[in-house]
Amino acid sequence: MSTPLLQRFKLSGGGGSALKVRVIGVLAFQLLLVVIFGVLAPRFLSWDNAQSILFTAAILAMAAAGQTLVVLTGNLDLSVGSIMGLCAYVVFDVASQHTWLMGLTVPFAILLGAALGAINGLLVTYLKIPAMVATLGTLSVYRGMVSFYANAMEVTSGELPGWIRDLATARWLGLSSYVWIAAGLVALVGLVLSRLPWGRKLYAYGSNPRAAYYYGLNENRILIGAYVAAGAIAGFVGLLLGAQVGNINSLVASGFEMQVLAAVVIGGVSIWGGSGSVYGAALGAIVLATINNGLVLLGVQEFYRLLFQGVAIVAAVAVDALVQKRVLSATSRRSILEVAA
Amino acid sequence: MTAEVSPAAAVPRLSIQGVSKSFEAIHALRDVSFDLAPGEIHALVGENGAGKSTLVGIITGLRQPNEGRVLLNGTEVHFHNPLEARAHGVAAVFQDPNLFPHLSIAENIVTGAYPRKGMLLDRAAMRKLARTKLEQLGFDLDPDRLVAELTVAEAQFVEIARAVEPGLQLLILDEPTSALTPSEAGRLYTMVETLKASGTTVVWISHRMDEIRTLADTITVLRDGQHVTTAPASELDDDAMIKAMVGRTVALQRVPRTEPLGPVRLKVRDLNLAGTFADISFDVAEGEIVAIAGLVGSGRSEIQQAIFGLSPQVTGSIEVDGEAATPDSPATMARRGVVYLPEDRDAEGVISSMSIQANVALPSIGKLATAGFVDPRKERSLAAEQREALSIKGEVEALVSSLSGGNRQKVALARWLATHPRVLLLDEPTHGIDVGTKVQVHDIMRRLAREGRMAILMVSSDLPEVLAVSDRVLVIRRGRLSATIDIDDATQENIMAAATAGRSEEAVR
Repeated sequence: MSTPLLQRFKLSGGGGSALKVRVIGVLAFQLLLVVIFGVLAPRFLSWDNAQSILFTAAILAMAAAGQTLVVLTGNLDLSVGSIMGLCAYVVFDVASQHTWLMGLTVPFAILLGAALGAINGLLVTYLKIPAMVATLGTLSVYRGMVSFYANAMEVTSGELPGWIRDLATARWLGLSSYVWIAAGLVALVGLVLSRLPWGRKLYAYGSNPRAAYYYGLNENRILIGAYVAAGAIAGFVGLLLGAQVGNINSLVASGFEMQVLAAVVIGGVSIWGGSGSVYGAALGAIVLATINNGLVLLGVQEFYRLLFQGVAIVAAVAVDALVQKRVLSATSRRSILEVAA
Repeated sequence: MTAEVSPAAAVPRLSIQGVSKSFEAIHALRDVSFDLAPGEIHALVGENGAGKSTLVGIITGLRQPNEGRVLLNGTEVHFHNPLEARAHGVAAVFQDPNLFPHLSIAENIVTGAYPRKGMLLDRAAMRKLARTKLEQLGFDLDPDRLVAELTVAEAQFVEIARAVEPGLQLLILDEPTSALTPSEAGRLYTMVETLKASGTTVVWISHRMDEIRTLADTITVLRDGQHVTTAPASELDDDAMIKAMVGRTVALQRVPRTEPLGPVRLKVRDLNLAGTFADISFDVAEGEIVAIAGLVGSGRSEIQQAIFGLSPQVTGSIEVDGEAATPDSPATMARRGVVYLPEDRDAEGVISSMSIQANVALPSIGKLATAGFVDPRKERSLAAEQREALSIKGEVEALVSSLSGGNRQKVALARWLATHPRVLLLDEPTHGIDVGTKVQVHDIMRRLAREGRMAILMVSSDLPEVLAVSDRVLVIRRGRLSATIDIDDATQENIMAAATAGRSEEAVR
């Protein structure tokens, strides 16, 4: 059933071409969305609205950049929303009580996020807990910790460091500061992934963990590194989200993991690891922000938005599954059995 | 004809001394000792399960021996992983490519030892390095292509290119030509000769007599985890080599059939699967056990899988009890009364985390239900009945994971027998099972055929088993039926000869 579909798009030459075509598919989908919403909602095609979409996409794209590191290894981090919430609350709460710490909020959030990510990494590598289960557990644990710490209190926007409140509303060259920060972060992660040996090892490990073992790559270092980096980024993004939200309670970014994962898979990062790019994930974030924005403009109810988002995730993963099957059948003699299974 | 160092070299390149390795109760290697000279092509031969892969694993650091030692150029070495072995110039290329399919050829070649410019990966240098390596070996491949696009043969070239580094002492190639066309194989032969000329020792694991004759300077034969002989290729002719490979200490007995064969139950005509097998036609009668013999990779397991509907693209016709059946899925064939027991029992044959009774009852669970709910008493009595009939050790509530390999196989058999199939397809029914249990499984097979009136089609690499159990032997060579031998005429030697003989020009395309 899958083969005729792929053949129609002339992908029968092998998994390679299928991999290359995927990003184009995401771009085409984004264009399609723009056309549809543009026709249906005239206000959609305005500079103000484009800015609004990019602003929403910025936070999501940054969190997706961190998640990409983990997903590339064939794992996932469901605790990203909880890490963001915990870092936002704890860091701002401490900063509001100890004003001399105000300048250190960013490194503090990054370190705290990295530490929480390290716990995820240790659970997955040393305790061999499947990533889905381990991070589902820490999702609850981290959220529980921030609830306990917050004790039903709030950090109000007046207590935040002034410069960070200013940052959240600043505009540079006509765009929100967050858009520029997100662009910088995505570019940095992109550089790490394409040019640093560690980044290349993430791809290699995700592509074929068994081969990675034969190649002598250090599995633990790769995986823990990915979780620590993803945690650090989540900590940083949590801080930015908190500054944007203003009044921070223990529920900040709760449920955010679904959006982040959706952005990553819609952006063409393979859920089985080994392929995709952080730029794709950022594009996925823009696609999601566009969907949300367009549906709001059309006055569509929240329920339909969730439905639409869910369908987009499943469709993206289904395409991914077809591509992955091609890729595996090319290099495995057991392909007969796998295709049959 | 034991392991004497060739006179040209005082210090062997690799010396294997008294190496033993066992996995739980199974002795994979027992006290194996032999030497490999510098700059020779050393063929390592033996039947499946003779211990070749385990030995390669020990040499390359994938596995640690229980006893014995390995000396490289006279110095004892203990590699803990393949990377350490590689650092000492010992590399292996395995049958299944171990590559990163999503990455480019160039990156696959340099992964783990990236050329850098400062902190960053130097992509230009990486590409150049890969291109040079591929060219030196005579492989015409664009380093920018993704491995996912390659054929198995090309992927193998990439692995070899990666393995060949300056200072390579020992290169192990595990059945390197099994997926190659004759011309690709020819390029590989040239490459191996070049390596040999530069002083690298090459271990060539193969089942193909012709290429062993073409390439090998020395031949080592392993059988049942033991070293049989190491001799110069000129001193070991084909007959002697086959005898060394198949000769066995345990005798399995034939039990002559008293019941007559019934009508044809399974009729297979012109079965074709592109690139795997072609023109396969045969019958299996009621009460008959037919064995498919042949080398691993010859297509014999794939024929069975196709009959069970695992390869829907297969062409040809299949009839069960005179009724045409289209093998498009296992479910279709199961409805026709065809049952398949795969070789990898733990992965596919039994559910080891469930009890014996749950496993036995699984395929017939619908029949055991009362008003939609499974009746535990019926389930229990069915399991108890089968346990008795097959003399399975252990209570019916015991988890299958607590059983030995042999008893697991009996559970796998019992599970299907409860459904009274017409055709039973068995892949390596006693692989990894001790001799005592093996004899019991053979008895069960005979009873199923003769009393249960099933048609049994068995794939086996175990020639004594083939001779003891089957009524007829189909020999497959390179995807084609090369001989049909009646059991009264069959010997290990003529089966082996039919499975390996002749030059392999007519590659299956």
